[in-house]
Amino acid sequence: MKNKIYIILMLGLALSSCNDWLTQQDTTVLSASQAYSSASSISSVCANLYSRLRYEQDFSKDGDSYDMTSWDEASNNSDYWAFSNNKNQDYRSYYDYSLIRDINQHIYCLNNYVGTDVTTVNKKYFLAEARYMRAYVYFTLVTRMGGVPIIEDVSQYVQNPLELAKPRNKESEVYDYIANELDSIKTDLGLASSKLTTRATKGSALALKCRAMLYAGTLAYNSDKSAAKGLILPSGATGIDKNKANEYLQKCLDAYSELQAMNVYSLYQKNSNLASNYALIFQSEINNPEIIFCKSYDGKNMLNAFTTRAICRTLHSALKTGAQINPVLNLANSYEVVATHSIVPIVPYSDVDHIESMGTTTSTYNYIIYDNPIDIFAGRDPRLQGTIITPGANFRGVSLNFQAGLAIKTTTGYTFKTAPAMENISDPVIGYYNGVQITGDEGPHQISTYVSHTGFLLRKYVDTNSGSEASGASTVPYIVFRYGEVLLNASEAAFYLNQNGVSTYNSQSTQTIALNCFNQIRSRAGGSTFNINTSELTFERIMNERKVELAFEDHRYNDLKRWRIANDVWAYDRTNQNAIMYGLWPYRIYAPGDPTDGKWIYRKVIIEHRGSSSDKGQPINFDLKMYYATYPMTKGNPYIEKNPNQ
Amino acid sequence: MNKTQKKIKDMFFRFLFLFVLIQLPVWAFADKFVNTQEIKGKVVDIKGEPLIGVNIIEKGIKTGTITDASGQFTIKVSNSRSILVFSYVGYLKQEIQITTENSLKVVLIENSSDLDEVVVVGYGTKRKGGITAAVTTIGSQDISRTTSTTTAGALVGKVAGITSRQKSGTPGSASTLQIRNMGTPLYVIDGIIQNESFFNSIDINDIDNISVLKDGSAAIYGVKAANGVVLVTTKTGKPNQKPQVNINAYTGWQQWTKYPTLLNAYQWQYANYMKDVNNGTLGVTTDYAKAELAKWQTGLYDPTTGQDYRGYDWKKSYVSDAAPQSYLNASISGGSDKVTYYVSLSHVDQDAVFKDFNYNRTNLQSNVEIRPTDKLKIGIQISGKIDNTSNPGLPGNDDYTLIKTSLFGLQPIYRPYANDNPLYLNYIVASDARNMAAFTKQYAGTYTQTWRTSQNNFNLEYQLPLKGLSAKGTFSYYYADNNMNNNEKGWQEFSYNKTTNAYSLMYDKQASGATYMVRTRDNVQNITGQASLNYDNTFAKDHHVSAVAGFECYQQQLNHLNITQNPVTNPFIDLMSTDKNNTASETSQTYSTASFIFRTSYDYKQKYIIDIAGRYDGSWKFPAANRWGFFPSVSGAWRISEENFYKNATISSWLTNIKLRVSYGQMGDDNIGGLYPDFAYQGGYNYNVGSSYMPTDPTTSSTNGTVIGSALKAIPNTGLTWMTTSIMDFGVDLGLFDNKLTAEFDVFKRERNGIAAIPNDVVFPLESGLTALAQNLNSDSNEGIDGFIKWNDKIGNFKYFVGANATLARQMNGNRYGELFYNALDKYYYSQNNRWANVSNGQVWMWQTIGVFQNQSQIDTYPINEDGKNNTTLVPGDLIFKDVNGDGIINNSDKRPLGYSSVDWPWDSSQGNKNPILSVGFNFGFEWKGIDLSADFAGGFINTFVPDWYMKWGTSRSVSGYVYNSIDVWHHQDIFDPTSPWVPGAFPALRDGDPSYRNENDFYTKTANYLRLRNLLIGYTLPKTWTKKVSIQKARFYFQGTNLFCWDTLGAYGIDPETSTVNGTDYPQSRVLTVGLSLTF
Repeated sequence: MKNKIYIILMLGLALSSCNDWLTQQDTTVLSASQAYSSASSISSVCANLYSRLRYEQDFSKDGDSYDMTSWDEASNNSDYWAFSNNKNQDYRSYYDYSLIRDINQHIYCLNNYVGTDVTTVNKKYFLAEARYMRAYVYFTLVTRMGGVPIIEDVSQYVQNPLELAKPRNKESEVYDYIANELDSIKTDLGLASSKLTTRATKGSALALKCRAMLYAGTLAYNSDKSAAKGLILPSGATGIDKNKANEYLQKCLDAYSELQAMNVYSLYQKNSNLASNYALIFQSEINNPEIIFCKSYDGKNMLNAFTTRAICRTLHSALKTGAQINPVLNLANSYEVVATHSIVPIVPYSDVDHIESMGTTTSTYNYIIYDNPIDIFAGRDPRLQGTIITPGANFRGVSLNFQAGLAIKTTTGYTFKTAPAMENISDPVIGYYNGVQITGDEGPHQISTYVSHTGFLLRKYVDTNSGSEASGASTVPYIVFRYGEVLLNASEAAFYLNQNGVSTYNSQSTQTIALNCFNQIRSRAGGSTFNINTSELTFERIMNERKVELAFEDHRYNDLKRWRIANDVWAYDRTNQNAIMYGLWPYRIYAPGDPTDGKWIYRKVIIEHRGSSSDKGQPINFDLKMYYATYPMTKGNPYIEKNPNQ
Repeated sequence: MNKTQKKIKDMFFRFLFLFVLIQLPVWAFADKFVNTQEIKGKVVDIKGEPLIGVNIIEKGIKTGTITDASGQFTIKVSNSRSILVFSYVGYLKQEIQITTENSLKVVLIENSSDLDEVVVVGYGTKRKGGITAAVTTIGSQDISRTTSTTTAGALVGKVAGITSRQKSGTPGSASTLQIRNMGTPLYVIDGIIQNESFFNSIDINDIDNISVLKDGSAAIYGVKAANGVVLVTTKTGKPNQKPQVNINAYTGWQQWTKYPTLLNAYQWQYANYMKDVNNGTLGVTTDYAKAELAKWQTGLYDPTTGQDYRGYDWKKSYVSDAAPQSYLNASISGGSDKVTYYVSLSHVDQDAVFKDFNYNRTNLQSNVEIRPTDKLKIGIQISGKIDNTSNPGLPGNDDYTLIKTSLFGLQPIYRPYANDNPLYLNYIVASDARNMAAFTKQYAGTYTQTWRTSQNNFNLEYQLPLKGLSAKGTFSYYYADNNMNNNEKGWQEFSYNKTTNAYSLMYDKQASGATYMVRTRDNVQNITGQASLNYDNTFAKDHHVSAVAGFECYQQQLNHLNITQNPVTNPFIDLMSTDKNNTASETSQTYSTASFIFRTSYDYKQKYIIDIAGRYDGSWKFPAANRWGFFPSVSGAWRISEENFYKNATISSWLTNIKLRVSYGQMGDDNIGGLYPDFAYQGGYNYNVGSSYMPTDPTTSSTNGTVIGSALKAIPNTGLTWMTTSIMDFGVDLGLFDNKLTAEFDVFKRERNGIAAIPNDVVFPLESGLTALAQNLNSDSNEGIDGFIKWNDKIGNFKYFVGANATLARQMNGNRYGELFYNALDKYYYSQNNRWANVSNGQVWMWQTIGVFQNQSQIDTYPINEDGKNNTTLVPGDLIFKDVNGDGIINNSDKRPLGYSSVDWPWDSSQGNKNPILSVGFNFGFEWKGIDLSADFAGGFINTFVPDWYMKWGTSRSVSGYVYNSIDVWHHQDIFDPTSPWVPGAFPALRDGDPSYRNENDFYTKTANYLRLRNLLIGYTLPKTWTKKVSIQKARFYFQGTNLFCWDTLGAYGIDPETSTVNGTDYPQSRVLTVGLSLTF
């Protein structure tokens, strides 16, 4: 009997403490009131949201920056299995509504959970900042997917998920929403510190508005182009009416004028060497008046591996890194001749142009002979040398040895000799021909990886600080908005307005605005002789200027799309010189006793790394389907309409 | 942290209080007991040989003694009518009424029946004869027969119901052990739940026995017992035993069992040229290539010109054929009538086949039991170990990875030192940083990891005044501490330039920022408390009742701290200090469970036995509302052979014992998996997810700094609860010919219900940013048979045994919620519902190879489109696949499941069950005049090996290659002339791209069956007459060999059949040869 009592006593005691015993705390979690208790804890939530904004060429994510090698700016030889094939409609399909929901929840918490330690100024700024991020996400969505449902509430977990389903908004409605949001938050964003570049500012809101309105304006402006005709959904989910063009283009100019009036941003002009000055825009956000918004790295906790990937072979830090972004001749050809303002291709032959295969071992073509490798690029837009490392160029004070091989002079022409692989270049037996080194440290080389295979390397964004090539150690920022782009946007908007018969904006001639903005960029790039006159300002000129000024800044793909010409420029066709990628290979002439001995010739080669082993050197392919990426269709939302051609 | 500590303290004291509380009233009645008469005697066997260690107790009184080395004993008895009970393992129990004489001579008779053997089951012990469950027990003698350094390795092939696979042979790594292929079992060491690595690092010689609970009987262990239970009991001393000292030592040598033959420099060039020509991509002229190849063939070396075509055998130079392994164990055990003790200290040291890679472990086991009074028993068990791993600090997390891949990745044409000058490491650029000469502590730095653990158990057992009722309490405290120090130093690689006679620095690891200094500190603390009342009594002679009721609580605390410096600022000081390159991270977790347990069993004359048990379990994993679950089990047995009708039948003359068993048990499993991460039932913000470089207060500053992110957690899932497992088992135990032949067979089925899955019919719009939450929806099952048969006998001096066991167990998917398919073919491919696991749409779907194309005209006229390109890509030697659906084209629709569980990909070893479906073991041994021999064979059948990468492709210029598929291939008569006729080989012609023959097919994929001589032991015990002179009771020399040979079905691949990686670059198991000596004083 006694025992029974004790047993009951024991069980009772044990049970009472059990629920305490079984309740554990998650040591990695903050409650909502903790997360919104101070400016720094709120910033922690923001840090997560900023890190999730989608930048196609993000430097911190391994592989993302290789996107630069997908189109007609560069090619990739080291991860070519991932970049050798053409893209399809899934490319840039993006639908991050969980980020939208988290931002909406962030806004909800800012309205409901903010602690008393947070100042009213901070609270106002944080709310505006949250809406800026949301507007940026909607901009990313609309440029890729067309119109998307605009969701501003925090969706709750409900029994019947169907009640949360909403149809797509019109493409124009999304652009309108973005413009309205940015207008209503720009004042509060002005509370931010004036030199801020890494979080939302009034400047970044205006720059986003400027770009978004140009995109919306061009979509309307080009809506009657033949390519655009099949891209219109009757619901308006894709396609913007032609008559909305002027409204959007004017809004683009509104944003530009307001930004200019802030008197905070200007073009970077600090170095007298024009090529170096251009390259320096992309080295640091510190005291850089041109940068409006960027993603920044410290190379320690916030790693930037772009330099590790892109740096020349001579300076690479570790094996199997470096030389992975190889600019193509197609881009180099777009840099104008400064003196004549003419856009002419680089041709290394003295008679007609040729296209050679990389593996050719003999040739009887008439090559132009250069004393120095760099001579072939003489007289071109300085931005060429500021963007691309060409044969004969220096980097970090080191002269780089681009030499595909030896051109051994024969009676009829040349025999070409190259090292079998880059690891053999200093081999006393295989790497030398009669005491002369065959292939240089920077290649180019057909087979080896982690060396250029186009004859070019990238300079833009590659960190000039020694040591920054170590894995992730670069501090170069990823620029999202800079003043130079705003000028080009404004110039283009004004140009279209003028074409549409709107001759003035704010009592200024639209033609003058267009030319003025354009020439600011031109004179910074090539000096005052590089300025153009009214008759030279054509759409072709605008296209080319954006191609070279904004090269590798993730504009090319979007520009060709909104101009509705991507399917022409990148038409999959063996005769399409725009869509087939070329390299330019320097050879040192080997002809002892001959005056040409030690001089240089170039071969224009086809980039065989694009494509497969059975389809080498295939053209880029952009078909009509790709104007709007694949729209995700699920049972969860029956109101969603497919994209055109999907 | 403080709160948890307080909670633990609180719990401990509450627990102690409870225990004292139930003891208090009974201590008052504790009677005094005085021994009155002393009896002496001697125990011998039928030949008059003294028996050592025979247990002698006075009937009805628990105290007893044990015979000494000459078989003598002395015992005090309570009165002159006392009965002494003599028991000894392997001998029949004898009861003797003492007489007036003070000296007894007792002769014990051997008994081959093991029905009286005591078996450890859940929360107690039972006699073998009274067991209703599927339990297999293995004793110390069988366990210690191994050179394995892990306990799992010691069990392989010896226990019915256990399946295993030794995927890697790296020192310290263990076989993946499973019971009936159900998954990782629960390990219980001396009554305390422990993890697999603790189980594996017990010193094998400290184990007295291991019980494997395979069916519903495991249910009594509840949470985490869903995959069966392995119970380990360590050795103890015996009462009134003189101190006995045992010393056991061996030393041995290890080498790899199997590794595919690698290409030499000439073969490598030959194969690669052949491949280039086949591809049409030979980058040099044919004459040049031929001349080069000729030089490689002769191994031309001319120091004056720098021409060097010697190549290098990396494996021969960097993989040892005789890596040392040694072991030393010393133990002492004994006892008085109040105290027994067993103390053991051991050390095992194992080098890897790679230079500077070492594993060693020191174990201490101390088991002391005190009986202050006749009613009270206090046990103290301390088990401590120091586990050391030390090796070069190679890049990557697992330092073995790089060295394993390098062995294959290094082309044989390169040499380790530039210009053969050992001062300069050669720069081998094509192969990454893979120069194996750099993989030493001198160059690469040192990685050391030391785990220090101590397990401390305190047991109290008190006989209560009510007959048969006792109270038990256990408190256990486990502490483990890890010190990981890694210093990945920088080394430099050079190229030699013959013309300038200079060594140029080509690679500097320090300068490239790839040096690391890492410190990891872990500490783990487990607390287990158990309190129970146990009842055991027999009524009216034949009705035996026993019961247990108790409470158990468990808590685990894990703390982890890591500091990493990259790159290392000062490589000369191997100590962490404040530095801008440091990053730190810390985690801390606490888990807890609590359970109420009861079990009751009844048997009538050990003829009809019934056992009912249940648990009420609570786990921290679930929110309060779903936290508790009740899980019952029931089992019964009928010993037909005890029935009178049976005893009278003639069959009983040879079929001595038959017992039928049936059991059904349910248990809860809180291990729900990835769909229900820890604290998924709580909301909030996860700290340290994503970060940005920006100011924290943008309204006052524009200076950037790292801002660590906080991310909103997913929607809390409060709906999930226990996954329920039930095991059904039918078994029969047989004893034949006076139990010389024993056998057990079981049929079983385990079902798991409530496996978490996301319902696919609850679809949120993507725009909501929400997805459906997991629910307890799916099920699976595991079914099969296992059994063993064993013959034990003695012919004169020749004592021998022969045994065999087998386990056939296969996993099956049960209901898969809401599967939807577009058509029947899709369903056939992808459905998981009620299908064998790992079969649907896995790598085991492949084309059936029905031949090889012999010549080009056969390809040209072949009517079936094999490659999707009208056979234009095919060459003679390519495989012919069966057009299963007869549509004239070979595509995915012609693939059929032609394999079983398939290999593990290195990155998904967790998926499914990859142990062989059929596991077998054969054991035999004999003893004769001091000579003993025993052998254990272990085999795995019905499994599939799916090779990939270079095991399919043959060599390439970026790696070395294997001889079997790079040389013995279809090739042109003149390999440089693509127009010369084809010559047959065992494998298709080498070429690049993705020829169709490389797609999944049964030419490459092979069934992996094997049978290996896992262990051979030959010993010789010196005659006692010799050893007695130097006061040694027993001296035995032995030779032991592990993996002496292996028969398998992997043929040409030449890899160990238990290997897991698809490209064969694993660290295979070792063949170990040891010589040893054991001494007993």
